[in-house]
Amino acid sequence: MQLELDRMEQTQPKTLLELAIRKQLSGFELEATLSLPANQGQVLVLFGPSGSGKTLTLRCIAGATDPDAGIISIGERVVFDSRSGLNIKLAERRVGYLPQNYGLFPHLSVADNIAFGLFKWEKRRVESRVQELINLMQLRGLEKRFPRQLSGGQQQRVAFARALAPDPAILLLDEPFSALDANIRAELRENLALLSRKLDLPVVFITHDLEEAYMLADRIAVYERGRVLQYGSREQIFYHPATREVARLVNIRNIWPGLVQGGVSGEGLVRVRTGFGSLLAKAPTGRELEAGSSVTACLRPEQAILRPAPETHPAGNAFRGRIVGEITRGSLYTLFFQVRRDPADPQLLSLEGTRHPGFNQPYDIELEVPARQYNELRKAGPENLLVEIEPEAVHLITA
Amino acid sequence: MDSFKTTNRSDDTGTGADSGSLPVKQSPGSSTQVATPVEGNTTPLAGPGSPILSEMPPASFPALSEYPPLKRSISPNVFWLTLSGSVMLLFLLVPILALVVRSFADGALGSFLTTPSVVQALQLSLITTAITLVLAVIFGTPLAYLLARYRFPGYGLVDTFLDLPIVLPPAVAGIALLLTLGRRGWIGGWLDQQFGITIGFTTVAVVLAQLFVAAPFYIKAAKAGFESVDRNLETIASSLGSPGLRTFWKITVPLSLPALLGGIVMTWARALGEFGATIMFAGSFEGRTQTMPLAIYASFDSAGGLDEAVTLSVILVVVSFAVLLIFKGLSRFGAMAWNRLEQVNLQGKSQDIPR
Repeated sequence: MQLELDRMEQTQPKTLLELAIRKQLSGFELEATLSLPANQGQVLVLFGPSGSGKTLTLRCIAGATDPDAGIISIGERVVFDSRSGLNIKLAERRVGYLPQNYGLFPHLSVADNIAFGLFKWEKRRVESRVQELINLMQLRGLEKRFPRQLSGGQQQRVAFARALAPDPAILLLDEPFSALDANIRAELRENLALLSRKLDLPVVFITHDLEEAYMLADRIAVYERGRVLQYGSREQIFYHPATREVARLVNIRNIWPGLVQGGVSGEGLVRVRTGFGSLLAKAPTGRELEAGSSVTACLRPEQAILRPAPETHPAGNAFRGRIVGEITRGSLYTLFFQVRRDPADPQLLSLEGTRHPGFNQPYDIELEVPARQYNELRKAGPENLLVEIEPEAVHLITA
Repeated sequence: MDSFKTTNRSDDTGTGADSGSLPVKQSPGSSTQVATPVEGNTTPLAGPGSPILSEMPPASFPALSEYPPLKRSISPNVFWLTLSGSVMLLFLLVPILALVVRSFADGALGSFLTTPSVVQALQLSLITTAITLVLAVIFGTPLAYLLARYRFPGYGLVDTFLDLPIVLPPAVAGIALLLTLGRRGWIGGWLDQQFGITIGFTTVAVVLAQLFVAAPFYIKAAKAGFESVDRNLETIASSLGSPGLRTFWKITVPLSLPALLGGIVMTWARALGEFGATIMFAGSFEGRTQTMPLAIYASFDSAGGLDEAVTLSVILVVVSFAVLLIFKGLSRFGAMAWNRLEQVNLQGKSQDIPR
């Protein structure tokens, strides 16, 4: 494919992107250190609530905003270094930058938009390049249209084509799908994942959509209030958040404060006392947990197993109780489970679970169960339900 | 049975039968709540495939074909608006009409059209206003862009200062120009002593007087035009490798073209009508500084010169009207026409160019 031949890097760089920047705005300070090594994938997602500094980081990489201090390198090329005063201009950074609203040039046709960055090229090459991108982004037949005559998804694809045309070293996307309908969004999302691999192009991608972050990311940086709270692989971020803030931001629904009761010998497990009972969790590697120290146990709702309670109470993490509320999403049910307190433990009886504004009863565990399975469970009509939790699924935050 | 609900209520209804379809439950008191407690009454609704059409109540209205079309009448609002609007419009129109009629009535138009003083005045007006316009665009555009894109200490002061020539009586502008560029003025005096150059009472003075009072109209309009262009577009253009000047020419100018053209028209109109500053700073010398407005006043002031004044006025009306029409047409084409000039031609032909 032409696009691949056009790529200029003969030798593969060791890092695709590296940055350490500080930027002070009135009432806001951004401090971010990130690096995207070549062997760890090429899609870096900046995730976090709005106003947390994601866009500012992206603009600094693009060169649209100058950091106050720090260093930025794209590939092996340093584009900003406040020590030497190096600051390569936006026009010479070779970045494909897509801000939130696509920013198509309203007075130019689709073809002219795509060709905008090819002004130094020979005329014949421009034409073939534009044609190539039109084919790649499935825009055939729309060449002469103007942006306002396109649907949101088409506009998005034109913006992509335009950014890719001058063969950028990196693609910087600021919530590119946020304004689109859910189904177009899903389609373009898949396209982007494929495209990034096909073009062998590093991508920095901003989103506040968890599903999107998980689908696309090789590495995720979780932002809040101008700081990178955690930076790692998506598995690390989603299943092993470093702090309670990250756990909350990545929507781990079950965040239980607890006290370490002691280790379980030989199994690498640790017993944690929570508000609804004693929970076995995998001991964090490389850290000794002292009995009595406080920890936070995290569990994603889809990782709990719901089934009818058997006659004999099984060993391990098993909690009897009942469902106190449900929210249906069609194919999935979110269930709110209240653990029956152990009568032998009077202290637990006084501890109430979490309150949900929609339900009368407090709950302890939030579960996610496929609708089919839930309907089966309902048909069987058990007196009692049982929630089982694999100790490996429970993540302990010790910080 | 469904003992799934752990409430003590014994009147659970219909949970066993409809468990195959998606159960929709309603919480007591609120029908919009998404989250629903299980302790609610369970009301089975129709499944996804329910025949909605058949449940429509029988129509109680006559068939649509029996309705006559609505009779439209002019609303009282429109009537009063038209009436009061017409008064204003007539007030603006009738004097112009009087001028035109008078010029034809005596056959004066034909006889004066070729009079040297009239031709000279028209020539001078067109040339000086054209030069003024070019100078205003060349020197006003960078200033307008600066004001539109950057904020600096004293910004508000500069911005207000630009309004001053618009507000000031032209006579004040004339005196101010004399004090600066007149033979004994700050700069004029120095020019006179060093190079023997005199500006006052020359054609150059006419242009400068026009520029002083008219340029702010262009600068203001251009500034507003540049401000209306999304900065993001300029950023994107730069990120695509486009140097600043090309970005300005290809993105900023086309997108602010209607505003720029508006400013150009305003500036030209103001320069064409310039009288006070010109007569004070440049005087009224036939063929040299006597522009159309000055010539009109001069003929009007001389004995029996009314016909000439009328002719000059009608010429001015016609020229102004024509120029305004042309510019209106131009700004309608706007940015699109600007960029049609240079398009990528693709072999794969697509639909017609939509308007």
